[in-house]
Amino acid sequence: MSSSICLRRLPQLSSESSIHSSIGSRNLLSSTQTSSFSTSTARFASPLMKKKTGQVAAPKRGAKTLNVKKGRGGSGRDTGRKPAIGERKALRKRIVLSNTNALEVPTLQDLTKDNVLDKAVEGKVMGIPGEVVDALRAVEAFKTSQGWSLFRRPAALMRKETVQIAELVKQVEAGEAKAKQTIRKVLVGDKMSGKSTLVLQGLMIALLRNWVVINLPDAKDIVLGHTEYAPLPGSTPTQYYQETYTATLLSQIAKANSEILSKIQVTSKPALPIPTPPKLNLLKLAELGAANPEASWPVFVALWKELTLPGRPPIMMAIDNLAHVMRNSEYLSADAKPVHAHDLTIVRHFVDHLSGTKTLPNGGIILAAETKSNSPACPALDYSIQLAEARQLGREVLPEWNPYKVVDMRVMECLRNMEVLRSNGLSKEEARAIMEYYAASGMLRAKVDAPFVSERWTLAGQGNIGELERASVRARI
Amino acid sequence: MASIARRCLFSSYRSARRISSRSVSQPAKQWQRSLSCTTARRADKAPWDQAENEEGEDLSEQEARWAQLAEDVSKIDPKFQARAAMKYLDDFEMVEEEDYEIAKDDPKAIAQGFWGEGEEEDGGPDEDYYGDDITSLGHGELEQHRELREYARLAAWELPLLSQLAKPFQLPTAATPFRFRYTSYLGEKHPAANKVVVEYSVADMPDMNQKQRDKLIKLAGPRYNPGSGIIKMSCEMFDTQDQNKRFLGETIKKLLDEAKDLKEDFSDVPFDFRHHKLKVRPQFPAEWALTPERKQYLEEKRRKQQQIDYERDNLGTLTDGKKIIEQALPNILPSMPEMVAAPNQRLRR
Repeated sequence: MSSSICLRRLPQLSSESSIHSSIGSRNLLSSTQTSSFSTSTARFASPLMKKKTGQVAAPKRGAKTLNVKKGRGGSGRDTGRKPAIGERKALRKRIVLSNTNALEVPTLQDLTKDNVLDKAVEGKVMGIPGEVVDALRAVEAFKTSQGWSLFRRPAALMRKETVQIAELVKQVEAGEAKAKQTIRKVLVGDKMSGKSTLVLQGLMIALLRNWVVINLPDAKDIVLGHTEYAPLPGSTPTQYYQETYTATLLSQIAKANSEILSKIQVTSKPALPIPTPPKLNLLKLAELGAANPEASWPVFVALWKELTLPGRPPIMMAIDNLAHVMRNSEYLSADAKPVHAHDLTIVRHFVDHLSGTKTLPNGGIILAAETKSNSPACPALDYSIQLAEARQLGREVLPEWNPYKVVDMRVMECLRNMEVLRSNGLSKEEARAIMEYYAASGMLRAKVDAPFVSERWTLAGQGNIGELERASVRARI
Repeated sequence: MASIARRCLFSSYRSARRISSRSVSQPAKQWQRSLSCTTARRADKAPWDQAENEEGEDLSEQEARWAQLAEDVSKIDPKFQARAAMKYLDDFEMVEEEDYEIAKDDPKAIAQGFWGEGEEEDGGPDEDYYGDDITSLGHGELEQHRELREYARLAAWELPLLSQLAKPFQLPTAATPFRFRYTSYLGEKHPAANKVVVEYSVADMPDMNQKQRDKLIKLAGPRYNPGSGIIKMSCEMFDTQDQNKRFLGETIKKLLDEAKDLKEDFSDVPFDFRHHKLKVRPQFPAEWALTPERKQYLEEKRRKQQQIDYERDNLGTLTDGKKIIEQALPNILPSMPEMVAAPNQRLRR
């Protein structure tokens, strides 16, 4: 049995490692894990194991031999194409909104500008019209975790909470021109209870009602530290803006609201760092910002200024995964201190409206949804939600802040007067409506009668919609 | 031929001594070595005279006894005397003088012992075991048995007497708010035997207002149980229970004095109950309880639902996933191509 290292090299080796120890330690992969001088391999080698003779008779000419070795020429060689860069991520993030194998539901009606605010649609599954689907896709309102790919075309149940949002929209639109309301809501609820879908439905209603829609699809993307950032000149305390992210946001705004924005001309003279054509509509402005990331933030500010002038349409702003912007971001300041998420300009812009320090002169709704599946611990947010719920329910005893928890005062201040919309489980009638839709799409092979609905409703934890979909469509029992 | 009386006397020595002389019980008092090994000298007599005289005395004494005995025997009724002698002679045919000689112990048998009788000898003689006793294992068993019996006796005779010492339980009064706990390990040594634990309720402390009580709770820290409102303290620093109890008493006194002193009332420090986890007991809401009324209501509701479903089923408006798929499939699937048998290749060859 030969030792792992030639014995003649032993003194050389030890001197090398002692001299270049720092180099050796960095290169972890190349260094062998065996000790330089060891007899244990030889000593503990199993005596039962045959010694390698290396004298295997060559196979006869013409005889087929089994070669399962990996590597060049072996039959077990991986001949498949390696995925290109970004391909797997694209596959992971792909939004599929149609299933050609599902049946078309003949009774499915589309939502229109008129019937979306109607009370009559409550408890019905309604189709989302094509242009709205495009706009929603543009603002990334559809999520991979939602079951859009199971059905022929996007449709959603107009549940009680959706109708509540529609009521809010009606309320904003009914306000007088001078005193339009700004409504702020935080959507809370159990895991898979349809919070993100409620945001989507809110955006859908806004799009149908010709509002301007601005959506931050996932707050995590803003604070993750994956896009470049720079301190905003002339801001005290220092704020940071994200060129690329803002440019993407502008392009999304432009795509989703192209029809409305193209009708509005820029009236003020915005001071932009890029040359602008003399006659400019808002769509062009937004596209300009999207095309020039270095000017994206000033363009966004100019666009916002234009949108808040009197006579402009109401605005729906939404954010998902709220907890991520209620803490320090992954960015560092110049003195290597973490940057609070509220110091990022986009987040600051949103949070100012969510907290009520800024209002929308033309009216509008600020929607924020929390997430239960991927959210950092945020005690201030949890407490604020509890407090807001207790306040809304008119409880006499309000929950008390645990003084031994670390408090983020900026978050507490921001969420001081927030309002909460809890998305509960579906009622049995709603569950029946959506299960009939499942069955009509050919995705549920069962007779949808009261006992069956009741069983699945109970299995889904009192009508949690995500669980209901799991229990009736996805599960094959 | 020895006389009958002599035979009677010596008959007890007739059988061989089975039990070794070593096992003969020793007098309780051990032989004590005298300070000098020489015999004590006396002034009046020479030592050799003394020895002779003593022997002579002993002999005369023995003779006197024998004479006494012979006289007593002669007094017995001669008829009876003859019968007893005859009977004795019939039973034990000891005629010769040699019969009355005492058999010597077999040294080999003694070495082998009772339990080893008939066994082959191996090795040397056991130093500790003389063949006159049961094994040490047996002794152990016996010892255990004795011990058990001892405790059984205690349980039967002594323990019932303990009830005489029992005192009737009396509820603690407001004057005795401290509950001490001592641990006894029934005479065994134990490292926790000196531990003393005291529990007292904050609400039971006399002459304290709410602020002082709050301060006491804050000072007690994790020793306070917010669920029961009781402070629990223990001490095992010292060697004895008394010392530990004394320390506890002094600490409580200091604590109460400090709590009553409201110069610093800790009102800016929030209560810290992080050490206490509230035990959450989830309970079904009261509305869920299946009362007869609710049962009836549910049954009624289900019956109505069933009726509606039945009607809808008859009308054909009830959604049935299976039916929908069956109806939709012929429209979806393209018509299957008709299978035509291929010409038989074998025949062609």
